[in-house]
Parts: sequence; C-alpha cells; structure tokens
Amino acid sequence: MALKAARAALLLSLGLCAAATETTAFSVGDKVQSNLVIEGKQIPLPRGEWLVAGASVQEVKLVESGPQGAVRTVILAQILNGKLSALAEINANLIPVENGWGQSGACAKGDQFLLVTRYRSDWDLSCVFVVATALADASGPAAWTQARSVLSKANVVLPETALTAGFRASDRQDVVELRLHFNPALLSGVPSRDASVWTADSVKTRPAQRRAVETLSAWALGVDGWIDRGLGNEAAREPIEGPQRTAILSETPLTDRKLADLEALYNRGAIDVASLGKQEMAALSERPVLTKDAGGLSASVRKAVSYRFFSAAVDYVLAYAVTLGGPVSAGVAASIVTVHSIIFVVNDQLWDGYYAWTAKPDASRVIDFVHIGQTR
Amino acid sequence: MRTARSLAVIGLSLAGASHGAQAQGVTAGQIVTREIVVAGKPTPLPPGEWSVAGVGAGSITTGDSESAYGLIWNVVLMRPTADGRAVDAMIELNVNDLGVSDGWGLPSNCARKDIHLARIRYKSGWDASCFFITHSHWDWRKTATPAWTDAVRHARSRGWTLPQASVTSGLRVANRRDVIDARFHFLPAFHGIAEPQGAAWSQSPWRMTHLAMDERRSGFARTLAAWTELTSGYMEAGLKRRLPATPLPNPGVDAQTPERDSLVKQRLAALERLRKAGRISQANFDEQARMLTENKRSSASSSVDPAAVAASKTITYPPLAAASNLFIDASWVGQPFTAGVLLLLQTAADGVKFYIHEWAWGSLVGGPHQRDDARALDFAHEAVDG
Repeated sequence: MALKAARAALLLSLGLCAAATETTAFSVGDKVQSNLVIEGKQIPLPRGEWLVAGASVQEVKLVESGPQGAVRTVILAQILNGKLSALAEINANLIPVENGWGQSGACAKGDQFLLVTRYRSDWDLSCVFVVATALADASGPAAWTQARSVLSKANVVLPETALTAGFRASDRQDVVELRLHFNPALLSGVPSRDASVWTADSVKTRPAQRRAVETLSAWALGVDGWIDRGLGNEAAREPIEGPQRTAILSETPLTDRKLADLEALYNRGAIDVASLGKQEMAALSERPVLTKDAGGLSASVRKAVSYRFFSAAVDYVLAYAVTLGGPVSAGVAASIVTVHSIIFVVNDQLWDGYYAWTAKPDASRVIDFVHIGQTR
Repeated sequence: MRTARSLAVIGLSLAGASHGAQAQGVTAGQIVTREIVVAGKPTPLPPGEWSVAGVGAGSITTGDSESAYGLIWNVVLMRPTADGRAVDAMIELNVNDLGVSDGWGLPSNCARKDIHLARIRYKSGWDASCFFITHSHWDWRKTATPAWTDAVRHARSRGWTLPQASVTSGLRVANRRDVIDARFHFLPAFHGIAEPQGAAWSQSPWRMTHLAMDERRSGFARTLAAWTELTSGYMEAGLKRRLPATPLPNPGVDAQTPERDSLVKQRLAALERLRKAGRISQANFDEQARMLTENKRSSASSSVDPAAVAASKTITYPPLAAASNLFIDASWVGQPFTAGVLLLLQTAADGVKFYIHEWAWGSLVGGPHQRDDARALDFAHEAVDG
C-alpha cells in the first residue's frame, strides 16, 4: 500500500513536469496532443499522440429555443503497434447560444454499464457514461466514414467493439460531447472480436470484461471534471492520464489538485491555517449540486401526504377547542383531510405547470448528435 | 488511501509550485492594458494604462460559499489622467482563486430599484450575469479592504488626487465554478460634468429621481448603460477565457467596433458564414435565422424564485379550502354560530400552516437537491453606493 502510494506520488510529480501542449489548428492526417482546442473550447485528451483521422460538420435537430448553428465532429485515433488503442470522438458547437444545450439521450437511464449525472438543470448538464460501441460498420457521422478510410489505408486493425467512456458537458453557451472508445483488449487483457461478450448480462459473468468495465468506470468518474473545465478553457495544464495509468496513480485527481492548490495558497500566506483546515474539509466533500427537481405528480403527492398529517393535527385541535367533542372533531378533521387533499394537489399542479411554462417551455428538450455506431 | 492521497497531494504541490505563484497573476505597481488576468480569469479594461494600485484578500459580506474557493482576490486599478495629477477612473475586482462546484450568487445591487439601472441577464442557483449603474461617494479616511488601503497609499505616493464621487458600472458574471465581480468607477469631471462638493449620496445630482431633469447627467448615464451592456458580453467571454480580439472601448466612443453590433447581428453573421461554407443548408439557415430574429437575446433564462411559487400557491389555496370548510363544518357541527367560529379559526390557520409547510419543503426537504433559486452574495467594496 505504502509502496503503491509512494510510486503514485513520484509518477504524478514526474508526469506533471511534462506540460501540456495546446493545439488549435489541425487537419486530417495531423498528429496532435492534449489539449485540443475546438471552436474555442479545450478538449482534454489522455496522454499521448493522436492522429486526426476524420472531421466533419453535422447539423443539429432544431428546437424552438435555437438557433444551435451546427456541430463540429472530430475523430482522433491513438495507434499502438499497428492496432487501434483508442478513438476520441468529439462533438463541439460552432456557435455559442444563449439558452443552453438541453438534455442528452446518452445521459438518460438506459443499458449503460455506468451512468452518472454530475449536475443537470435547464441550462447546463454534465454526465458521464460507459457503454459498448460497435465499430464494425460505418454507421455514424461523416467524420467516422473518413476516419475508417484513413485508418484502413494505414493498415490499422479496428476491434469490432470498443468500450466507451462518454462525457457530455454543456452550459448556457457551449456543449462538448467527448466519447473515448478504448480497445477492450487493452483494458481486459483478453482479445475480443465477439461483440456479444460486451452486453450487460455477459459482462457480469466474465471476470476479465467486468474488470475492464470497472477500471474504465473508475477512471471516467475521476476525470469527468476535467471535461467540464475544458468547456470554460481551464482544463488541466497537463494531459489527463489514461485508464491503465490512472489505476496506479490516483482515483481522485480533481480532489488531489484542489488540496494541492489550497496548500499552495497557504504556503504563500494567502490564507491562514484556520481557512486551510476548513477549506480542506470542504474540498474532500465537494460535489456539484446534482439536479433541479422536475416536479411532477409524485412530488405533489408526497407533499400532499406530509401536509395532511400536519394539517389534520391542527384541524383536530381547532375543532376540539370549539366543539369540545372528540368524534365531531375527528369527523371534521377527516373530512377536511379528504377534500383538501384533492384541492391541494390540483392547486400545486396548476401553479407548478404555470411557472414551468413561463420559465422555459422546452426545458427538457433533447439535443443529440450522430455518433459512431449510430444513425440519425 | 489517505496516505496515498497525502503523497499525491505532496507530488502535486511540488509539481505545481510555479503555478501556485502565478495563480493570482498580478502584483501591485504593475501597469496593465487591455485586460488583467486574475487567478486565470481575464477581465477587459477600457483603453489606457492602468496601474495595479492594490492587491489583497477580499471578503464576502452577504451570503457565503460553503465550497473551497481558496480566497477572493480583491484588486484595485487606477488610471491616472494625462497630466498625472489625478485619477480619472478606477476599477475594483473580486475574483475567486479556486473553482468550486456549487456556483455563486448575485450581488444585492442587481436587485435594487433605487439606482439608475439594474438588469439581470440570467440567474439560477448556479450561474448569473447581471449589471447595474449607480453613483458612489468616497471617504478616503477609512478603507474597506487591504487592497484599498494599499491603493490609497499608491495614489498619494504618486501625487494623484482621489475623487469624492464617481459614477459606477457594476458587473457580475458567474458560472458553477468561477465568479468575476467588477466595478468600474468613472469620474464625471473628466466627462465634462462638474460635481457639487460635499453632497451626500442621497442628495447627489446623480440620484435616480434627479437624473430625469438633468440632460447632461442622464445622457452620460445612458451612454454608460450602453457601455455596461457591451461590457457584460466581454465579461461573460472572459469568464470562459476567450475575450474578443477587439479591445473594450471607453464609454461613449468607438461606436463602430464589431462588438457594438448587437449579439443578434453577430449570431446572424456567424450563421451566414456557416451557410456560405456549406456547413448548414439554406433551409436550416432560414429556420435558425427566423428563431434568432424572433427570440433575439431575450433568453427567458432566469429560474423561477421558489418563494414566488410558494406565494402564488398560498394566495389561491385558502379561498378554495375555506369554501370547502364551510360545507364540512356546517354538516358536522350543525349549529351556525359554532360552525362560523370554527370556520374563522380554520381560515386564519390555513394560510399560516400552508406557508410554513411550503417553506419547510423548499428549505429542508427539497433544499439540497433543488437549490435553483439565485442567492445573494456580496463582497466588501469601497465607497458608499446606497
């Protein structure tokens, strides 16, 4: 344990000495490293050299709160000994908007191995998911068709299925969706050309596959914050580490960075020891406030039930104070509970609906892009 | 695990030492132009050479952040006049050092009704953009923050005369991680408007109620309002670390810079470029241009205040409940007088218990997962502005 920790610190220190480069202009065939800048947004990538294999623009399905302009799709490939190590599929908006980028189908509950929504409101979203992606055919955006051609000419062997860590981050102005498709053989140690082993049920019964999913999930949850930061052009100064390297370093790189920054402020005398202690405690438990409650019938019913208990007690006391009769007071309280329950839910629903309508008519709109393995 | 984290943090501290020294990005006495970068976040500056007069820790006076933001940097800049005898404009910045995950609130001034202008561009529990224009009076015998103490010393050491009053354009932009709060103080004397000596804030000719009758001052206030709206776009871009290439102009000049075009025109131009490049179809362009023209910049993007929702529900619920109580009490009690007394008591209690319940749900049950109400969060500032 101590050895692993010491090695972690050493590797981390050494790793940080290599500063990140930032690539803003590139074209197909170029080799780039993290951070890539697409349309004014940093895209943090795992350490190493990436080949720009495909690039295209796709129109976005329009919603009334638009316009969304269009989205740029870039596909990068990391190649190891003639075999595909990983693909990075990036979608980023071309024009900033005013009203956010809505929700994403990939962030809705489905058959993902992992789905975590860091935060979600009407105007921003951050989620991370792990899924299996078919690479066997050319379904997907035009950039993928181009990338397949480039990789084929370079005699790069593609796996049939990739294990994908996906990140969607959006705020009022911008959106970035980064999908990192890893060659599962590198994560599980087991070559796999059979897509069927990467179904949810199959993974549960296969230790190597399960371990690969767990490794990728742990990694994705550790680095998802960097994707958010890239949206605000404050990504890490160094490349993020890949899943295998992260497994021996730190599973909480963001927290470690925050603690280090606090320590640096303290060492410079910018904050005192009391503030340092308080903020270190806060940093250890810091999480985004997850989501805005969408309201709906269940919330109203729960509120109605709690209100009834509270209200019935008050009504009984009032009725007893006036009538001095237990049965009559109980009857009055019971009748009020029944009738008022109906009035309460109707009143609650009407006002919630009204305010939801005035605040944002299409708050839950879904804006999705075409991805590798998908058709629109 | 704890040992591993400690060692990892040591590693990060060693590797990030140089970054730590640069986090603040500015030092007192430095001259900056076009922009100033504090804690990695750029703020645009009007033309001229700005002297960093004071740098120190700021403080939060209203509200609080429960996250680890490191500290709030409080930076004061001064722009001397050409003859070097006075200060013609000042800027006060408050910027967080470390990003948080829970957002920042709005300044109280953005909700005021007694100042020349207060406008909220958007607000939610996690992000905000607003600006205001007011007038400020200065008492240099006492200062609010260490940065201002240094700034006064800085000005006096250079023989600059400090103002007694200024017109202030305040802007706040915030997202889930960061906040930039800027106050630009312009001296009316350098815009050809003489200031009466010794007038209190409430008696100032810049007071909103006085402005309507003062053409010169109201004209300057309008100019400053247009400039402030323009600057809000720069500030929002600065928060994302992508300031426009065109420098921020002074209030009332440089009328034809591209950024002075409305955002709608800029977006239309961007769409046009996409269409010409063949990236979007003509039909798609037409549809998006229509949306942009109809929706404009008004984004309807402010979250609803839960207190307003609770108040609305409270207003309509009691009459409905009282009407039903009338029938219930009459049928169970029978005696009109007793039923009437009971009805009055129930009616009086209904509104109170309903509001208490709504408040408890919003604050206690729904609170941690539904904090989409914009908070007030103020920093310590110099000057009297209200």
